[in-house]
Amino acid sequence: MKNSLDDLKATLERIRKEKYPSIPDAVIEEIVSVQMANQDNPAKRQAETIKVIDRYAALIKSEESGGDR
Amino acid sequence: MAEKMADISISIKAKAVADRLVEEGFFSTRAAAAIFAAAYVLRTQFDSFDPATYTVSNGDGLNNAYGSFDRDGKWEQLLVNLYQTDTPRTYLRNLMVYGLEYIGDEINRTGRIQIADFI
Amino acid sequence: MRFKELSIHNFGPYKDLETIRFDDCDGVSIIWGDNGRGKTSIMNAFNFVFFGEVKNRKGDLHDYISFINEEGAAEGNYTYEITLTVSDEDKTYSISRSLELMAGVRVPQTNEDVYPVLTVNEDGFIVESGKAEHIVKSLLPKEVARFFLFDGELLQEYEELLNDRSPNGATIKSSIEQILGMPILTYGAADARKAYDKYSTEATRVAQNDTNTAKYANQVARLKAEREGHEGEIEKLKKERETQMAEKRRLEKEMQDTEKLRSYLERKRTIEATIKAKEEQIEAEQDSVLKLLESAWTWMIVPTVQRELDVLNATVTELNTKQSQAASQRRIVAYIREAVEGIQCPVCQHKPTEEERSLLSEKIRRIEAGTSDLSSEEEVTLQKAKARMDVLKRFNVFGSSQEEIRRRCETIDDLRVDISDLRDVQLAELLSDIKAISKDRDADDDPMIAVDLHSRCEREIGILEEGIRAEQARIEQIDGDIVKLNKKIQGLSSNKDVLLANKRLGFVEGIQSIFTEAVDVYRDMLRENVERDATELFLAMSDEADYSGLSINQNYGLSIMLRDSGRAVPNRSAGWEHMVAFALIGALHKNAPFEGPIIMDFPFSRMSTKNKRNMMKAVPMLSAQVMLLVFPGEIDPSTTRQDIGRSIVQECTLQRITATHTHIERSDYNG
Repeated sequence: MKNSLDDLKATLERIRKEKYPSIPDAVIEEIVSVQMANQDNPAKRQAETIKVIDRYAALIKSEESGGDR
Repeated sequence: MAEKMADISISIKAKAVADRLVEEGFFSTRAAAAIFAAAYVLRTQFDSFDPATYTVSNGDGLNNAYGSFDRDGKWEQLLVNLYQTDTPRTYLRNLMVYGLEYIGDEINRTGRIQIADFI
Repeated sequence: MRFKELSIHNFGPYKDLETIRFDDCDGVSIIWGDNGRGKTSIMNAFNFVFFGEVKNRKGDLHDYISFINEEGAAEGNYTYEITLTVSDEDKTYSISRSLELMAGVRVPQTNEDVYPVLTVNEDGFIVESGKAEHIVKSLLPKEVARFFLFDGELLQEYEELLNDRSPNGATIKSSIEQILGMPILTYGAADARKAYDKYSTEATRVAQNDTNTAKYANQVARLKAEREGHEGEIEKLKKERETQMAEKRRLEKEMQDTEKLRSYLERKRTIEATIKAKEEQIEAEQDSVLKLLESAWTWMIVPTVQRELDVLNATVTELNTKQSQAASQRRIVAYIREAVEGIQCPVCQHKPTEEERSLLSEKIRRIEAGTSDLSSEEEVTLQKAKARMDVLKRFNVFGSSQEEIRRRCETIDDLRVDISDLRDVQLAELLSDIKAISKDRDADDDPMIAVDLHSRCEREIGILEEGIRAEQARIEQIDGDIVKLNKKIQGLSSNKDVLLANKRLGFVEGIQSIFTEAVDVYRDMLRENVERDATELFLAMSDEADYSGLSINQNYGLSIMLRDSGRAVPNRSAGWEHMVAFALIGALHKNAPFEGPIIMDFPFSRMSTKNKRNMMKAVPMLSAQVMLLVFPGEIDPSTTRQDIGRSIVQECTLQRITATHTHIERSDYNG
C-alpha cells in the first residue's frame, strides 16, 4: 500500500516542536516507521519500538545538560 | 279455608328448563327461574291460560318448600286477588310449571336461549 | 497499491483459467453479469487470495469445497487457484492462493479434506511463507478489508455507527480508525508507555539505592505495585466486558432471528388479555342481568294487574253509582212523603189539596217502583272488589327494567361474538403461524427471555464500564503522585546515576506524551476532514435542495443535515443510507494513509434511477482503481458511459457457457 502519512507525521511534529522540543524528530519518525512496518505483528512492533527508544535514550549521558537531544 | 300445600312439586320437564336457565347464568336458583316463568304467563297468557284446570304431568321433577318460591307470601296475595281463588299455591305451581314448559318449548323451537324474548 | 491482473481457475462458475487485466491505468472497470453468473464469486476470489476465506450465503467462511467448479469436479479436478498481481510502491507482488487436497485424498468429501496454500512472489522471487503472510497482511489488513472489498448488501450496517452503544458499530469504528492510520498513534503511545514503565522501574531502582531518595523511591515502588493491581483489575473488567458484549451481540442476533416469533407471541398475549377482559365484562353483565331478572316478576305482572284493576274499578264505579242513585231517590221520596203526610210542603210551604196528595202519592209509588238499592250480593261484590283493588294496587308498581335487561343481553351477545372472532379466527391463525415458525425450536425455549437477558447485559456492561472508569481514574491519580515523587527525587539527589535515570525517564515520557496528545488532535482533524470530504461527495451525488450536508459523530457516523432547521434527518430511507455510506467510503479513502483499489458488489439496490446515476458519477472519485460488479438493468449502460465514460478503462461481461460455467469476456472501452 502506498504510504502517505504526511498529515499524521505533521501532527506529531507540531506537538513535538511546540511542547517537547528536546525530543529529536528522528526518534518520532523511526517509531512511526516501525509501527507502519509491523502492524500485523504486535509483539515485534512493541519490541522494535522499545529498541528505537532505547537507542536514543542511551545517547543521553550523565554529564550532558538537559534537553538538547 | 287455607290451602294445605306445604311443598310444591314441579314436572321433570319444567325442572330441566329451570336447570338450563340457571346454567346459562340467568338465575341463581331454580325457584327464581320458576317465578319468572309464572310472571311470564301472567303477562302474556292471563286470558288464555286457566291455572284452575291445568294438570301437572309427572310431578317428580322437583319438590321444594313453598317458602322457597314465595318467601314473603306476595304471590299468594297476588293470586288470591287476581284470580279470586282460595288455592293460590296450586295456581302458582301450575303457572310455574306451565310457564317453564312453555319457555322450554320456545327455546327448542327457536334453537336459542334469548331471555330478552321473554320479558 | 494497484491491481495489475486477477486470474481465477476452477473456482465458482469459472471452470477455465479466466483473467481480468487492469494494465497500469487508473479508472473504473465494470463487470456486467446476470444474477448467478459469478459476480459474488469474483468478490470471493479476492477474499480467498487475501485472507484464505470464502463466504457462502449463510456467512460460513471456510466452506472451500462448495466453491470447486462443478464441471471441473466432474472431470476430476478438485483444486482451484486464484492469483492476484499487484504493484505497491516500486515492487510487484504476485499473490497466489490455491486449494489443495490433503495427502491420500482423491475426492474431497468435507472441508477437512482440503487446505489453502499461499505463495507470494516479490519482483519475480518466491518469498518464504512467514514473509509471504506478512506481505499480504500489509497490503490489505483484514480489519480494513470492508472498505476495499465492498459488499453493497452490508451497507445498512454503517447506520450502526450512529448508535453509540452498538457492538457492531464499535467494530466498524475500529476499522475506520485503522484505515485512517490511528493505530500508528494509539499503539505508538501504548508501546512508548511500555518503554516508560521500563525506564521508570530502572529510575526507581536506582533511587532506592541512594539514601537521600530511598524513602521516596520506596513510595514510588509501592505506588507502582498498587498501579499494577489496578491495571490487572482493568484487564479483568475489560475481559468481562468483552464477554458481555459478545453475549449482547449473540442476543441481538437471536432477537433479530426471533423478532417475528416474539411479535407473534406478543400479539398472542394481547389477544388473550383482550379475551379475558371481555369474559370478565360478560361476567359483570351477567351478574347485573341476574339481579334484574330476580326482581323482574314485579313489573312483568303489572299490565295484567292493571287490566284487572280497570275491570274492578268499572264494577266498583257501577255499583257505587247505583248505590248513590238509590240514596238520592230515597231522599226525594222522603221529601214528597212529608208533603203528603204532613200539613205543608217542606220546600214551598204549600198546603197540598186532596187531589195533589193523591198525585204525590202516585209519584212516590212510581219512584219507589223505579228505584233499586244494591242487593246483598251486590253489596258483597262491591266490598270484595274494593278489597281486591286495595291489594292489587300494591302490585301496580311504576318502572321496569325491561330495556336495561335487553341492552345488557345485547352487550353480552356482542361480547360473545367478539370473543369467538378473537379465539376462533385470530388466535387460531396466530397459533398456527407460531407453530410453523417455531417448529425447529425447543418447546422450552422462550424467545422473550432474550429480551430480558439483553437488558441485563446492557446494565452489566454499564456497571463494568463504570468500574473501568473508576480504576482508570485511580491510576491517573497514582501516576500524578509518582510524577510528584520523581520530581522530588530529582531535586533531592545529587547521585549521577539517579539523575541520569531520571533524565532518560523524562525523555521517554516526552515521547509518550507526543504520541498520546497526537491521538486526540489527529482524531479531531481526521473527523473534520472526513466530514468535509464526505459532505463534498454527498452533495455531488444528492440533488435534494433541503439537505445542506453531513455531520459526523464520535463513531464516524454521518447524519444528513437539513438546511432550514439545522437538525439531522430522522429515519432516513435505505436509499439515502446507501448514499451516505458511499460518501463515507470515499472520504475514508481520501484521508487514509493507505491507498488501494475498491471492488464493489451490488451497491445500487434501493436507489432511484436518478440517485443511481448521481452515485455513478461519484464512483471515479472513490479511488484510483474501482471495479464495479453489476447486473444489466441495475444501472443504465448508456447513461453510465455518458456520465463517466472518460473514467471507464474496461467493461467485461460474464458470459454463460452452461449453468455452472462462466467465461469472462472483455471489451476494451475507448470512451
